[in-house]
Amino acid sequence: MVVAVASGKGGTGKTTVAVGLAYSLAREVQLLDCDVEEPNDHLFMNLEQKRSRPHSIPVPRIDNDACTACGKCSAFCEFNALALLKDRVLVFDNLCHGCGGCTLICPKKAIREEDRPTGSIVYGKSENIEHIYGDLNTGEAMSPPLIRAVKKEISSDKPVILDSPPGTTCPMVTAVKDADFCLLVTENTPFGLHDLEMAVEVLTDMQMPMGVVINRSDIGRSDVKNFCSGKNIPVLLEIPYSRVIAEHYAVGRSIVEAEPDYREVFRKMYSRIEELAAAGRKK
Amino acid sequence: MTICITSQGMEKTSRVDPRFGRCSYFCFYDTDADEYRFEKNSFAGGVGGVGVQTGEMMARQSVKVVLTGQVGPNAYRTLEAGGIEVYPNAEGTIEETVGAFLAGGYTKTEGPTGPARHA
Amino acid sequence: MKQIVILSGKGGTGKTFVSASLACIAGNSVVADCDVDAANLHLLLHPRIAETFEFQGGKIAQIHTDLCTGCGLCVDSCRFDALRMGESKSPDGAERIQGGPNSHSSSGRSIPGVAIVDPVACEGCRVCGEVCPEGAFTFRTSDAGRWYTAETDFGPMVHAHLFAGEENSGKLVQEVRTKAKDLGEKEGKNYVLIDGPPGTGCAVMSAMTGVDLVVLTTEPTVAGIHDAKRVVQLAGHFNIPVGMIVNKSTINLEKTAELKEFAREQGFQFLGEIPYDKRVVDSVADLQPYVCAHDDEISQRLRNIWERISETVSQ
Repeated sequence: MVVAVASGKGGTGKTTVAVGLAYSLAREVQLLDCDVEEPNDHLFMNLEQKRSRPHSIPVPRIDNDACTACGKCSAFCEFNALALLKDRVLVFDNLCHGCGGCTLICPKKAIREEDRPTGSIVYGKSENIEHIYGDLNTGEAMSPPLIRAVKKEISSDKPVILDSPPGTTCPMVTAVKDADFCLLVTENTPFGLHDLEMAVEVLTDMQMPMGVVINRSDIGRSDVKNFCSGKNIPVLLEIPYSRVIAEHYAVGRSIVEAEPDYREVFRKMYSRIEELAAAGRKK
Repeated sequence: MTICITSQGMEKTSRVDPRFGRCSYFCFYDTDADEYRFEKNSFAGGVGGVGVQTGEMMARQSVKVVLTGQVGPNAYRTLEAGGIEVYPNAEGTIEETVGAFLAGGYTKTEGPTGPARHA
Repeated sequence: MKQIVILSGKGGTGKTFVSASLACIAGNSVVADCDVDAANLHLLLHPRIAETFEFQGGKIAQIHTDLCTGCGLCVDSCRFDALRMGESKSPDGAERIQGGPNSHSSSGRSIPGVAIVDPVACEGCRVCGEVCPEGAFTFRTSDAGRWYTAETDFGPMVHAHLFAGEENSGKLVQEVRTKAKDLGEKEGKNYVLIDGPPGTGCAVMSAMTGVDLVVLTTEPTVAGIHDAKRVVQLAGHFNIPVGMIVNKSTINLEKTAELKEFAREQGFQFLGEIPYDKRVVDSVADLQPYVCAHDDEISQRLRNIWERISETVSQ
């Protein structure tokens, strides 16, 4: 089962919950960090057997001898990554989405694809967790290709926790797509509530079974619980503010290191998630 | 020869638009005929690679010189491949700019004037 | 006119809290909310919308189900996981696949053996249209968002809302930036204050391009520092000076010192620090910029921060 951890607003506690949940389960799990622009999960884990491999997207290379400057490739490209000037085709790697269309369409088969590195995929192990994360090179604009590549590593023989990027647009949707359940982490502030509403809208559209975790639940005066009950969304956990948790977080130690009682709490929440996900599938 | 100036309006008295690919209008000035022609920029709302498209269009129209504010790396590379000279930091009205250029008042750039404008 | 963007890398460090107060203190400025994915600044500044603009995204594939023979060539050719073959039988067999102009639903009754588009994953490359032997594809432009010009008690504001699941956030940010700059120039404003998005991707780059200063709002935590460094790296790419604010500085004094040392090493300005205070969290519920609702040492720190910002950009 794949459980995604997302939020509308950034900084609500996705990493805290995803890492805490992964460490709490009494079995082998996979923790995937798909927040490839700012992967943080690994900062809370002492990863062993660490290795990485580059991730690339294919970009076109023109064989100038075979090219007849017909311009079909440039006309086809939706992203203006190919330009025909004075009988030469220019390629703009930074605009290319790697769709392969130009290579397909060239009547002289004068285009081949080359790999352009955009980031890396990192692997490691910590206690019961097999951790995999994407690390997008700074200056790279697009995260979805790397997010998709990380998701290809999803294991079918153990539980998967997937830490998503914040927000409700393309990177979050790419990460959360096809999960069995999505946990939305929020806070009791107007920003938290406002962004939670948007995230709920997206997940509802995707028909994704969901539940809410309210972090720092005793701070802030908004009424997230009221919103959730109005929408029939279960609030699965409330984590009150704790100085101990905050201090541990600041130095890269997980919530279950700060307060070990949370292990049992997370385990119970996971059982509840399993029930809700199964019920969601029946619909 | 044909000069292209990025413009904020459709008149000789309109001001130069400092943007290249996302300018509001293009002014094409024919130096031999002393004639101005204006076109709305249909690329301006495009999703990406607008500088490339604009550069390609200018090459197709046999533009030899561009007067504008700034050009990013993609735009510059396209114009260079098209054999088009780029004179940045243009200011004032279209007419004034053309006059200043013909009097030798502008300097050609040998590369992009700024970083990529990511769309 | 100077342009200043407030960034953080990591979400939740207090960008919007800072931006709102700076908008109040700075005077004679235009505010641009470039966090188009999860815009929050309007909750504090209460913009009165003057004009609304539509934002169009890229193309999205549409299938004419009566032409589709279920050959599956499109599914094989799509590199973005945006196509799949319909599997389940629907009770009334002949039902067409629905998906309205902006439906992000990947359900809808599937006809056995007919391809279905995921409009969120679709990047509009048109390769599917090219490989389809039956010509069953057309492409429409997506209605991807809205952006607005507005008035607030602190001056004009430009903000936007990218619809759920949409991409091209960088382009929408650019619209907001361009309009804010135009307004600022027309109205003779001294500053454009830009509330930036989290991360380091295309939206952040569009928020950052051409500004005079990046104000990096960070927090003294391992994650905060890690993400802040990525923003600094990106600002370096763009050759833009950086100033740093440490928010919630008292949650870990060692890490705050580490951040100050990092600023010194890298040669950028330390603009100030704000201690962790529950008052700040609760103040968001006031739905006003902090300095408007409070006159205490936190407001004073925010004013001092603005002093240093305006000094830095005027050099």
